[in-house]
Amino acid sequence: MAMSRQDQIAAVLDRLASSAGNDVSGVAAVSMDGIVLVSKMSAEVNSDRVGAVAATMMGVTRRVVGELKIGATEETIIKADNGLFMVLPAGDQSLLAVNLRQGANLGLVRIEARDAAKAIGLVL
Amino acid sequence: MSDVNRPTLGPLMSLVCFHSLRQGAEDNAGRALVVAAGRRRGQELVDALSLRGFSQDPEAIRQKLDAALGVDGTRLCLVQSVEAKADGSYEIHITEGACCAGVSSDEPYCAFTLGAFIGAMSAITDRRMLGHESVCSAMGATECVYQIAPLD
Repeated sequence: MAMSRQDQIAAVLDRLASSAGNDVSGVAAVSMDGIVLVSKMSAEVNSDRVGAVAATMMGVTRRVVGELKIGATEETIIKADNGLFMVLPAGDQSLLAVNLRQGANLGLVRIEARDAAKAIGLVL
Repeated sequence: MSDVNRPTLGPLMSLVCFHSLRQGAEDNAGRALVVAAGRRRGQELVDALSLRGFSQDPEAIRQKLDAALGVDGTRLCLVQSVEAKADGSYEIHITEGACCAGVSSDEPYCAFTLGAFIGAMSAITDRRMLGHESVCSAMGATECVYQIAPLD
């Protein structure tokens, strides 16, 4: 039986979480309108709220990028003193949100996240 | 919000202010912010009306939503029809939507109203739903049509 799109996306998110090891504490695929497609966030995180915020972050980022005329948006990252939050476009229809632990290897996770975002974009 | 403390003006306000708020938010932060606000409104409405799991009967859903959102409700729009499809999705027809009032656009323009119906249908059916607007009165149509479908 063919995997559903949700299952395919879930598999991509699982691969990302696995390959990033302890650096990633949660991942979610989100529609451009902020609706969570698949969430692998921890139980204490309100994934619906995070989805809406992630899509809004992307919206703000795209406007900044547009106003400054600095090309196409590749990612947006928030750094706090106990972790990071990254959002990337995943095709035209969705986003990938990644929650990283403090001290995460950002370079490695960015590479893995871009691959995952590309894979999600192909599913949708 | 039941006690609005506006003895003179009451609970309603002009579309001019609604559009300013919506356009300002969208210009600076994108459409997702507005859709998310609509979804929240839809979910809160369903909770306020105790409609979670209420019914899968589309006409019963239409009547409840129209009573809450239409001429006797908050006047977001008139809910003309709710059609259930075999795949679990819903097609919703509305007229006089607040998002599109007085607006001309080259692309579907509803965001808050669309979000409200996505949120409402998600809450009523207890399923995660995606939605898009297939027909929009801002593009010259006589009504707005929303396609709201469960994720897989």
